[in-house]
Amino acid sequence: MNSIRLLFPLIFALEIVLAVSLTAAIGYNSQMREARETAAQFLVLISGMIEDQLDRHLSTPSSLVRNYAKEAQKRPGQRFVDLLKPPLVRHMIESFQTQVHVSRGMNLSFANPAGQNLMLDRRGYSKPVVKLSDAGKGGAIYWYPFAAYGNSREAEEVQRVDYDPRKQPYYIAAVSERQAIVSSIYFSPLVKGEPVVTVAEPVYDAQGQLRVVVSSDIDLRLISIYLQGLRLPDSAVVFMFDADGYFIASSLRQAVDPGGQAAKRNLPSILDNRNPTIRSTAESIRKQLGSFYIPEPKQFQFDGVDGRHYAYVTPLAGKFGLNWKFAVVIPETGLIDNLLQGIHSTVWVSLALLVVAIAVGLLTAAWMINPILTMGAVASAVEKNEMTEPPLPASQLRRDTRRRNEFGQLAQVFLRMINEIKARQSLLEAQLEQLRVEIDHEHTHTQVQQIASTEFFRNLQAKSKRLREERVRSAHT
Amino acid sequence: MGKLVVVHSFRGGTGKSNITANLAALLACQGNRVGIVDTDIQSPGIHALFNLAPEHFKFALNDYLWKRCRVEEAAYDVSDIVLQHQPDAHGRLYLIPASMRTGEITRILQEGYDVGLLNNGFQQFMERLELDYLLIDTHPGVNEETLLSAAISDVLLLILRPDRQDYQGTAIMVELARQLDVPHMLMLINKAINQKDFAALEQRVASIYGVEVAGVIPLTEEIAVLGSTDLFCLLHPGHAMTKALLSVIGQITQTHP
Repeated sequence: MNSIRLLFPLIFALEIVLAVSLTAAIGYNSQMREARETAAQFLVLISGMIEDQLDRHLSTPSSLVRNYAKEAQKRPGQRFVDLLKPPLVRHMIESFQTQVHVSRGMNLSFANPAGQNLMLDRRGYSKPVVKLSDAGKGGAIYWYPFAAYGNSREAEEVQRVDYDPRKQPYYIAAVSERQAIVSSIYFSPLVKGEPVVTVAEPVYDAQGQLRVVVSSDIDLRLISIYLQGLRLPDSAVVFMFDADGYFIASSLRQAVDPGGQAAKRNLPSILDNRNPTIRSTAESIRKQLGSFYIPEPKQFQFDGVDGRHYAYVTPLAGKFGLNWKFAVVIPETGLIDNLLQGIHSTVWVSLALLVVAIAVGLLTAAWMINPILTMGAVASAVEKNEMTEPPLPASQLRRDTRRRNEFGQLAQVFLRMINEIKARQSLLEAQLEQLRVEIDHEHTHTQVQQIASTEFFRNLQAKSKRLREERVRSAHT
Repeated sequence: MGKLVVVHSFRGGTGKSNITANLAALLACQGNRVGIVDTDIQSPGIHALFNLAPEHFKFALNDYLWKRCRVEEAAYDVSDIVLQHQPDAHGRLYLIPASMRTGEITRILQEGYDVGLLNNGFQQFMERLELDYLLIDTHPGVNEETLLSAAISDVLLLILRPDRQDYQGTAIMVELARQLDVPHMLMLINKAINQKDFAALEQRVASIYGVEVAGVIPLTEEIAVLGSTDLFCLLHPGHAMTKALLSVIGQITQTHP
């Protein structure tokens, strides 16, 4: 027999477990969804922020070059035949210092067809320097701090290289295009082989002869420094690459290896990056989007070696003809802490709820079962004609009659029934008793003898008849 | 000549006084001159059923027994109560109560009384008021007065309840009455339960005692409530109790003294 003592609590417990699990599952899912939505929003937010910053990095050199080129064209008399002439160099230093005080990353170069080069550079050095070189004199690069130039004939640093600006990709492109260009990425000897992109504009004289090429580098290392300075969630990676999948910069502290040759083809592909996140993102981009040519922002998820990742890729600064892209990748593990915290809270709250619900459920079950069990016991006792307590649970039944519900009514009916049965039983017993007309004849005889032997009785016996007769007689007379 | 009917029970609480009063009232309704003597001097009570307040009676049976008055002086006409219910009744009803004064009761208990005088009293009461029936309400149990009353009775009506103690006590009284040659004994069972069993009960009691059972009165709530304050049978002519008492009257009237 399946006793309701077990069945009821079991059903209650099952219902509760089901309800709480369902709630927990819904809670878990909604938290997961929320986390993913947050991740997506976060990605877009970061991307927007980075995009703005990079735009500034890229647009400033361009406008700087434009301004100086325009200035040179306005002054056809300004000669650039000897770029290394100290008055010119000083003039340039002053001009650069007054005009360019915005960013320490700014630089400006002038290269003439004679192979001379003058570079004013504020990038990442302890102080701004002017770098001078002359291809005709061996191409070594002499570094002079702005303040020290002219005071001392000795350069602070000399780069013993054979530098010829005319052989640099930007120069070749500017001269062949005869207009402002943005070079492809190359490793510039002027910044000790760091990868750069150069914005350049050739300035011609009235006869169409090249006077000078004004240029400014976009330093990929500085972009990396900027990216590395971003406050990103743990394990989040931001990296930049071009349409061919070549690595440009990342938020990770890894140098872009020139691979020995200052040529674009030697830029490392993001597919070969040392960082597994960048590598797996690259693979995923190629797999999901077919190529690294990404015309519009795209958001996607992928499973890397260390779990699920959320990624956002977008083209960057297309207006400069750079065709650069950048990607923000957040591994799920970066989000999982918050997520786990949420899930843990959900689990604990669910467990607490479960305990409370089960306790309430068991109490309710007991509340429902007890009167039924009592009535069962009552019915069983009545069936066996056991009308006294125990085994008849009369006091429990009386307690149940105080309930103001159907159980109470039922208990009242049971109690009345028991009282009725008891009354009938005692009536029956009394009836049996009244029919049991038994006389103890011996006792009767003894008592009668005692009375009959008294003098009074004997007298009475003797005269009783006479008394009656006298009465009859007197009545007749 | 009148008939002397003695109503007795071995134990108290059988409804003896009540039955006596109702029997008397029914007899009066039938046009008889009826007298009642409350010989239960130790615990009198029948007067209450006739609305006769103790302060309204000058003499009682006690006064007659101590020769303070003649017997008829202690008799009170209580016919009014019968006339209230049956205005055209020709019967009369007289009651000789026992004194309710505690001193009188104590004196009887301490000194006793002349039993022979009681017999004379009954006779004189019947003669002087020309009674058709004199009903004697006795004290329960067996004593000189009850034995005397039984001895001189024309009809001895024994009231009993259907329980073991009453059965036993009644057996003693029946045997004593036989030895006193009581001419006619009747039994009336009161406070019986389960009406379906009455015939069996009647038959069984009659066969055990060898005495005719004139009727069985059921134990009902209405008798318990109304019985001690009023004459129940006059109010409820169709009730089982009234029928039982009419059956008793039938038996009494057939008796030839």
